[in-house]
Amino acid sequence: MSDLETRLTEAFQGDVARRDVDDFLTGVRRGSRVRRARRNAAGAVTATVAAVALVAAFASAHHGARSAPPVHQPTTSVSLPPGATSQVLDVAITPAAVLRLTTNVGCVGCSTVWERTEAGGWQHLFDFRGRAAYGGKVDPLFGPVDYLQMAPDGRNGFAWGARLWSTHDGGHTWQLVTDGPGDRTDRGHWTWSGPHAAWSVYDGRLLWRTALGSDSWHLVDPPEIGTVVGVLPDDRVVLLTYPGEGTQGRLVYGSGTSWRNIGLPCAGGGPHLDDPTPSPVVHGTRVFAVCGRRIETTDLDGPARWTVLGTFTGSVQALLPLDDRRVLVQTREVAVYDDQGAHPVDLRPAPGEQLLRISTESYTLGTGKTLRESAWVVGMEGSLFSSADGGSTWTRVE
Amino acid sequence: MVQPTRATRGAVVTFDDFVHARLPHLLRFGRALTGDEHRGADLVQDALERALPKWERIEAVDPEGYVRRIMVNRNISVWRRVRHERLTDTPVDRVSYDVQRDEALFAALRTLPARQRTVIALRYLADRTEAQTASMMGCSIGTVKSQAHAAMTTLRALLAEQEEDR
Repeated sequence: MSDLETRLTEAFQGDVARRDVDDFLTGVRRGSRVRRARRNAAGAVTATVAAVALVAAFASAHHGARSAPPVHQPTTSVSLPPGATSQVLDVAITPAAVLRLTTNVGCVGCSTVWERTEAGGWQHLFDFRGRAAYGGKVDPLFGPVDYLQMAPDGRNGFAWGARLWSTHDGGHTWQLVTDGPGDRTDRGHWTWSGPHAAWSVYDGRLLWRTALGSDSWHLVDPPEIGTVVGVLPDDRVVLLTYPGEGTQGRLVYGSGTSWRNIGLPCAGGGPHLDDPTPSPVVHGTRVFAVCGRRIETTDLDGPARWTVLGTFTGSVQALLPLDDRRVLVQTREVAVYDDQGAHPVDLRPAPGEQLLRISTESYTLGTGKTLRESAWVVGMEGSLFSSADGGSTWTRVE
Repeated sequence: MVQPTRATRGAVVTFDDFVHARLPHLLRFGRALTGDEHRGADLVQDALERALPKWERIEAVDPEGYVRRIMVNRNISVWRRVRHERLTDTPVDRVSYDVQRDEALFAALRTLPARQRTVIALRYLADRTEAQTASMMGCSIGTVKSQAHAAMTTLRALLAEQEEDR
């Protein structure tokens, strides 16, 4: 070994400045929370410049064609061993079925789609494979698949992480729709479905639209970069947009050819890119948004006029619309907010159970879906809860 | 069907336990990748923030390898190169150290392109072979060799200049 090599080795192995590990952990948890909020608020984060190169290449490849045919590969599915299920990643509900997406023990980047049976169990539908061990990249064909969304028709649906997948048979088979930029989930797709069309944001910069049942996606020019926060019953998309990096966001909705800016209830625009406040959520034509310490709502089926639904203390960590007049909110506690005020909800674990913690330092609610009186919520730690009465009472689902 | 739980899977390393046990090692790796202690700590935090939501999945396999790979990827990505301001030779705010650091060497390291620094960190701190380094960086062994050669040539020249200036 040369002198320089020895010098490098010794310098690298030298002590680092002592740090308070607990303080460091607090920073990591705070950052992770912000990251998740930003991710929920979309790829908006992805005003990152890496995206510029990738997106520019992606856009240039597709803008010319305007309705570029997507990459489409045949599906190969291999069943994982029974009992491999670990955490619930997401849940999707349709009038006919409840699906869950789980990750699997000992398999990085593996996800599985299951359908709820009438007997109360889960029927295995499809495996997104990963690798048995982490030693390199996650399977380049599948990548991580973290989110699940089904259209109201129950047949069409989408799953995504780094790449976007579609199903046209209720989740039994899935096709790779668009290729992603690699195994980085933070640059993947974010997709929402309406009754007849679905919208997908890629990397916070490219907006795609497809008619349900088709895998032909069309690139749409959004008014600004942003993310999809919902789809209205008439298939128009609601976007949280950012006119520029570091600026305040605003809500825009439209069909892809015409757009309407409805702003946000807060003076100055609303959530900042770096603000961990959850992005607005949509149910039917109703939008709910966090503004300061208020939950505000407006109906897009007419002139937008924000009204205060309720006030809270602390900070909002998760927001889930239950119907067009009630929203589930996690602050220090979890409560249902409606025009009568806040109604605490008991999502605490049973004695001895550690799966769902109520804490200001961690999200309890990850994601959730509602359909009429049925509501399903995924906890951040992989637990699943359901409510059959519109969110008033909840039951842990195994 | 009985689903495996933490109890039935055997010993489980919690995220907090992992950070408590491995933070100094990760900070060293971050410092080597960036040439700077502050930047290195930022890189570690960035990687841990990304690993935390997936802990259940990665904990059972190779959590440290996962975190280190994130650090490598993030360090050499375009995002880091462009989003952050260019490093200066002398950090604005300094921390106090209990041990003497080879500041001249780290200053020279900071002048290297991120990929060259990554090769050097993987070779001389993580003790990776050229093949392992190539695999981790997603490039060929030839690229690793050329990057390492260029880095060492630059470092030798810079350190020689510094010696002459003394």
